[in-house]
Amino acid sequence: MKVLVTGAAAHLARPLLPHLLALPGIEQVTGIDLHPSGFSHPRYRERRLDILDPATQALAAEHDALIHLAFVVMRSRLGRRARDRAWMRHINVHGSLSLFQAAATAAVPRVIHLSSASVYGAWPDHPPRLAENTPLRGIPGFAYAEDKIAVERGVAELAARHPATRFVVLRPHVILGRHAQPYLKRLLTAPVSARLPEPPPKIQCVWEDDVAQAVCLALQRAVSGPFNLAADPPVTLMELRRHLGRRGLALPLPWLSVLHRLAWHLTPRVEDPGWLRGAAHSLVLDCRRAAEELGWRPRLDPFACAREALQG
Amino acid sequence: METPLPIDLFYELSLPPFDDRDEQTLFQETLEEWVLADELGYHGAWVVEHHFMPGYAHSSAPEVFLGAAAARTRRLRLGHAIVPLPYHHPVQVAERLATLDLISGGRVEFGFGRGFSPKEYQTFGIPMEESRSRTEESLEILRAFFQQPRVNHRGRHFHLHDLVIVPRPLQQPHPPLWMAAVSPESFEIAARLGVGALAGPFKPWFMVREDIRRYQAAWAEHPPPPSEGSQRAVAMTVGIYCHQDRHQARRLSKRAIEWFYGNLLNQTAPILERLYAGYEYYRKMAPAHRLFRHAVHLRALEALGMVIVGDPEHCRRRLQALIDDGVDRLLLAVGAGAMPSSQVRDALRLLAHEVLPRLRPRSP
Repeated sequence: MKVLVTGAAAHLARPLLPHLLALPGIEQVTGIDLHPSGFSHPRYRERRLDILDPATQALAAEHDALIHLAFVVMRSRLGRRARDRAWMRHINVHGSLSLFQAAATAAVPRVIHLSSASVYGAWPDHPPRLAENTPLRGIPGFAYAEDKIAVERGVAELAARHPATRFVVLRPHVILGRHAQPYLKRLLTAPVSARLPEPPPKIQCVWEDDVAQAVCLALQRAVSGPFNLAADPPVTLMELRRHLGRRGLALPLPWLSVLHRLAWHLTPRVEDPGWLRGAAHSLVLDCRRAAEELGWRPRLDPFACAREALQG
Repeated sequence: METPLPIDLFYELSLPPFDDRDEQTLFQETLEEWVLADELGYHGAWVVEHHFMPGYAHSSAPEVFLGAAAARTRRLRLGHAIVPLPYHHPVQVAERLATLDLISGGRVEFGFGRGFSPKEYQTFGIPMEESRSRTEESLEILRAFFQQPRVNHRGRHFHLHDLVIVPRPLQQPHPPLWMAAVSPESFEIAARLGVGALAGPFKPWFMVREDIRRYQAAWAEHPPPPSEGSQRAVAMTVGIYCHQDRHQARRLSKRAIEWFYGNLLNQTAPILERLYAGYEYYRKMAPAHRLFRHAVHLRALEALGMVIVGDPEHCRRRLQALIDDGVDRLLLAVGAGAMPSSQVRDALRLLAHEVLPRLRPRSP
């Protein structure tokens, strides 16, 4: 099997690529990214390509499976165009769906799309645990989740029209580990954190190696559709910080929101204010489908994930 | 308070003859009951759509009521059900639903049905024999709207050409969908459509239990894909009154419950007495209905499993039995919607504090 991985220099690609190449039946892995991944292996080759490049679509048609990790997660990575919402949407939504369309047209047997638990949003009326059939409801103004939802909607349409391609959508909660987004690490260690309403909202996270494991399982098993990925038990942000020995100053969430918004206007190094908006409510996933159909069991609990992240 | 199971409330906005409230007070007090329910941790509240049923149901413009409820509550899911699709242009149904979903922060659940009142059909100028075809076509249009930004439709009743309907709902692909299910066949249709089945308050429990079995069997035969907003669930409406003293529970609620169910069974009577195409099941049920009309008695209603009246332990046992037998969502008509607001609020608190936290999910 020949596998194409987009976003080969992305955080999740680091743990995924070695796992992938160790699987039986994998002849070759091609990675594409704008930046070098620094990874090497006799059966791995890498191309410097943009997701929007027609060459990327042509490449997809030549493979037996497509694993799509590439996504503008942090807008600050767009540099001068960080405030250009239409540009971000074009890369994320148009880029992803064009690639999927090319794969489906060429009847590529498997497409794995890395989505996110943020497609559910954090809302006060959510049930204690969300299963995959929960309607998707991003936090308004949170660009990352808006784009993830738009891509998922497109995938659902493509999947209905192209039964020869099996589309798998993975919805991991916050991914932590040695290669985690620096932004998430900062949330855990920053001297200032949010004082959240009582009872404090519960969140989860998932270890990057466990997500890589899920991608490999999705490649090997005859499954399709969405899968939640998260480690139990649900925890509060404070519990995680306390576990790591970081207490810091807890500011009320609305103050923090205002500061965040100001910073977003002043410096390109700060993220989209939408990232904070979801923090006021719980977001806990029901991962039974992944356990039953993929045979997936997360190996690290949220505390261990957080410890791993700080070691990276 | 966190309840382990989603328990909802059900309202017809009734104004019984022994209630001296005016309509304004009825609406305001009901909104206040919903605010209380929101604080107490109830999962949702539902309001029907009926026309020309004075006393029994003053909820003829539920989307307006729900707009007010959306503004005053924070967590409560808002049940917009049942909307009889043949009475409305499907584009307007879509627009109102999406608007409500946006202003409520995606808290809407939508239930559709065919409607059963000849007077409503007559007034809105819709031939009753078109009830099924209009419902099906409207649903197709709603689904097309949920799936893509441009709607094209050529059917028997509606022609839509490249229509961009706005706004779009916040919940993607759409709010949870429920279908009113009365006949056993409609439970099977709901399963094939991949939508929840909503059993109304006017069927005895032994029939609903049979319907749930049919729904689950039909679902198992043709499982729809899990991603596209499908939901496998049965909701059931049940009249309830809870009081620390079980004698007091009966004494306080007897008149209201008997009035409500007497009216309810009367509302469905015109269907039974005339033969309308497509409503065969009602005819088969006619003898049972005639029986109820002459004996709408609290004890009889309890025996038929249509109402639950008693102390917290009794209510818990009966609700748990419904959950264990396959009901996923309980829609409680507290005091059958015909008791004074102060008594309804007492029961809401008592249920929330002593009954709901002790309900357990059905073991798989």
